[in-house]
Amino acid sequence: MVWELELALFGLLVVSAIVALQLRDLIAAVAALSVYSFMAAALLAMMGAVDVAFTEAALGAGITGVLFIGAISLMHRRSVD
Amino acid sequence: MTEQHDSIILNFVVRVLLVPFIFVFGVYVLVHGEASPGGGFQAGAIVAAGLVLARLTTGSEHGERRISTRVLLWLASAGIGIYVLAGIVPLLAGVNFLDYAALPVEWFNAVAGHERTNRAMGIFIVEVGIFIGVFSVLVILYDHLTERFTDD
Amino acid sequence: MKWLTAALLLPLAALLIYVSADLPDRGDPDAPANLHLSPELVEVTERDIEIPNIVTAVLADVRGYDTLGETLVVFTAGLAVLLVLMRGARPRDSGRSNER
Repeated sequence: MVWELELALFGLLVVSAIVALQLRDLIAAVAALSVYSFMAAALLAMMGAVDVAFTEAALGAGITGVLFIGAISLMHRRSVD
Repeated sequence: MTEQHDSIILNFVVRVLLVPFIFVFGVYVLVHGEASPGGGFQAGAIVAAGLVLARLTTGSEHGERRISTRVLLWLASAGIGIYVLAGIVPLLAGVNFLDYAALPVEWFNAVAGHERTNRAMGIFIVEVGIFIGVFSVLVILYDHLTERFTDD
Repeated sequence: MKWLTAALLLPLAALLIYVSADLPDRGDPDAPANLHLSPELVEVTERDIEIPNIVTAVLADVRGYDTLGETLVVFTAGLAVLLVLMRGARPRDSGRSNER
């Protein structure tokens, strides 16, 4: 049962990473990046690395989203490339 | 700076329900870091997240009057200072840098009424230093990223 | 350009996935990392430090220098961001003289 759950988490991880790369709206990309961080934290917790998962969930999914949005608000909201 | 929200539900949920819980949980993660997953970095990030949440809802101006960047910079330096001090005190006692076994903290066992090795105590002191440092740095980052909101 | 990137990256991904089959299993007691270092760390934690969480013991005590450097990196990064962001900031009590 465990590996199916891990496979689903891996799939969501890859999908959220690709979505974060493709989005033009940077705030939506930050939201996708938070999803990515949370999936990474869940995967790390399933692998038994609870300390790392803790750090990833608190820093990656919590603080960096706010800091990224603060940084985006200092510049343009849409990405150009 | 971010403005205060008018929604009473948001204010109540964040200020009465969420933020106190987040603070208590962060301190729990800090002091329980030796027995369960957690430690200085995680606790600092959690408490900083709680403070950032409070500032997002009540507005930065309200919070920055209580704990300003100047104070936070002193706190961050003090965190690093605690860590370095925990390294230098054993150095003065004649052993290696960061050798917590030589820290003079045996008296704490009598005060707290439990038996802990000096190295466990040293780990706790160091974790407190990391906690203060990481917490202050994250809050400083948030404060200065949102500082210029009203200017444009 | 996009197809060139894909043509370069897909074989790399295939190669990495192929190679990862040779890695030891997760939590394998016979893996090289678990053979000579981990038992010693477990033993040191139990004998000298006497705390249950081995990760914290390794992070803060056995690798104390590492964590000191890590904390200094966080502090320096925060300081650098502060200096960059404060460069165009107005003084505390004067008016809105910001160029933005």
